[in-house]
Amino acid sequence: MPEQMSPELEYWFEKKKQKKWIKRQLRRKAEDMPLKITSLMDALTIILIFLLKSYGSDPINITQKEGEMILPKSVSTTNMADAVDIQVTASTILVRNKAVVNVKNGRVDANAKRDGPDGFFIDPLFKALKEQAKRLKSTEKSGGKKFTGDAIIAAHNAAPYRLLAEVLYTANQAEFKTYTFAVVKIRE
Amino acid sequence: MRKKKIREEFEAGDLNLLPIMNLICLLIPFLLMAAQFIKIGVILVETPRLSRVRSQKDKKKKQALNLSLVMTDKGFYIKSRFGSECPEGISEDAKLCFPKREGKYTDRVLKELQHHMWFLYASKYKSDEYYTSPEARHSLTLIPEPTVKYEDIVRTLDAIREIPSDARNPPVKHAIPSSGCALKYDRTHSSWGFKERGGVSVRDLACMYYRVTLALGSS
Repeated sequence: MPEQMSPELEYWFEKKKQKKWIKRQLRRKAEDMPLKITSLMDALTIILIFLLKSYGSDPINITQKEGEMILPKSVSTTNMADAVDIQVTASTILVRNKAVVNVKNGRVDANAKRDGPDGFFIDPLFKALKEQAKRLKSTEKSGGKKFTGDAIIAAHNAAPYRLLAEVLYTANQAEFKTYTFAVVKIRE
Repeated sequence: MRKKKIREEFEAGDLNLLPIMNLICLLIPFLLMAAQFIKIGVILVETPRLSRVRSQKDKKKKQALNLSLVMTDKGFYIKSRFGSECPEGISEDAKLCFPKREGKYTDRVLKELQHHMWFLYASKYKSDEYYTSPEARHSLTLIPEPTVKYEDIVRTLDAIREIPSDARNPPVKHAIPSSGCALKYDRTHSSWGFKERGGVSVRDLACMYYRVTLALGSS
């Protein structure tokens, strides 16, 4: 190092020293201070409350999928009540999310029908619904909710009415006498 | 002095939020997957029932209006015990009341149907003499053909249930409200289906034919 520095060089050294000092101070401060996550916690709590509110508010869970299960939209404002749900998708009929019979081109296979291709009675659907009715009746006997024979029909928007009529007829035979159609609300 | 001591004590013990943060971060993806962002509602429908007291019901049926709406590949037919209930001069075919447009039940067709149903409900058959009970005023039989799509049935149910937004007719006597259907005529708006929610007047679903019985039409 030269004995006498030029003023520019001196200035440069001084600046470097200052920067080093600031860096050291900052590092020391960061080590002392823990991570502040209070604001993040606030945001996450709000998100959690919102998600908890939207979770489990409906008695049945319908997963919509393009070409398979799209519910029609409606202006109806009536909320769903707890009932046995029958989902009629483009390829299957499900009772409480359990597949009971296949659907092809909007028709149930004739072998699954008691009275042949023109019949309305769908055997596997009847068995599944009868089982549900039995279960609900035994719950009623043991002091649970009264069996009212309510069913929610959630059908794909392109399902033909003939298929729905078959489902309604079979449900009627299995002691489910009150029906509601599930729809996507467009009005609160 | 005491306050300062308390503050010092409070500042000294920093709350460890990391465990709860971990829990929340785990819960959020799970809830996101299970959450339903669309609101699902329902429409109540009825199916024809066989009754043991059939003869009595048959007698009553003869006196009742027996309004029915048939959905076919061509369009809508409306019938009552008096015969066809089509609007005057709307169709060349005396029976087909509202033909499909471009092979579809368009919004315009459904709007026309809605207005005509309102005319039948609030004007033509307003009198009690056409009904055997207060519920019968809101009853209608919907008869879709087997090929009619579920979506079109729901849209039709909406059209015959909801009172048109521009309806100005005064309230119908003996009308009975139902779940999800307001039958309130708001005089300040001179319109149907407004109700107070938190001090604000909000448009609500005002219904006419909400007791719909589904029957199967022949193809």
